[in-house]
Amino acid sequence: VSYNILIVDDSAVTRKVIRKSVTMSGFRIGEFFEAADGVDALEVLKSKWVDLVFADLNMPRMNGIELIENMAQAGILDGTPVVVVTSDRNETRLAELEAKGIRTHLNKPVRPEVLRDVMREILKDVPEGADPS
Amino acid sequence: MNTELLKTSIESALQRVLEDAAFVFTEPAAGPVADIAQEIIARAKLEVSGSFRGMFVLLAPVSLCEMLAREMTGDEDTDVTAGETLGELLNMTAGMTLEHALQGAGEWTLGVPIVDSVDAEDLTAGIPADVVVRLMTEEESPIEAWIYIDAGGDR
Repeated sequence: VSYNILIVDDSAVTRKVIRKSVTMSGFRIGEFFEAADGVDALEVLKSKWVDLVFADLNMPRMNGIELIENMAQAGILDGTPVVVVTSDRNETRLAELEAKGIRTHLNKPVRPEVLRDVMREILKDVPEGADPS
Repeated sequence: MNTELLKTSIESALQRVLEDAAFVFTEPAAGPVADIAQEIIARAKLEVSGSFRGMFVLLAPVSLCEMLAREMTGDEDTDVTAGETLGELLNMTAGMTLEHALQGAGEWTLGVPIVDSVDAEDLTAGIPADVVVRLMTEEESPIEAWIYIDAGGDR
């Protein structure tokens, strides 16, 4: 039983920090996918099975809000939980995103134990490693 | 915008970000990075729009940024650059600063950090910032944050 994780952030350091925290979470991880913006993330989501997405908001080309809107339009958001990981502590904007269907948000810098608790909460009801095709 | 509140907010935010993200502890520094650092300085800039309009800047010696990258990633041989690291730390610091300084009022949008490196003498020739905070790590490396307030903002 393993989970595929997509990390979307234009910051290479944050992608590595999240990857390290996920690795330390105790969950068995199948594949890590990384994307530096929403455009690349959508390509992954359309071609790979992903159990959980960690997504930043402020990114070039396609930001996190646009990514989430595109996921919703493509019918991906219903079956793929998204956790926004951001420095943008604007509660109004984050509440709007939760209304659109993201599972929750975390403020940067993210502590590994906080990320682990969120994974425990979300992945308990995800069909693990299922093949979308 | 109350510059004293901004100053205390960014000082607390920068200290907390460095502690939480990289396990680096700091105290107020005696002087500017440009006077203390004997090397190339990395610089990150971040535009903010909305209820607060202006620019945040973070400055630190490249060697400190490289150490922060190693601490953040837990990788002694990390390929993350000094600039990328400083840019992400500035992103975190700016968000935390505005959350505290605006106390939930209004909305703001953080831009994408722009990073480069500069010689110390070039730093002293620029326009003075509205807010300046200088910290020193336990290993005596300086790190400095500036805020420019845009008078055209809707605050």
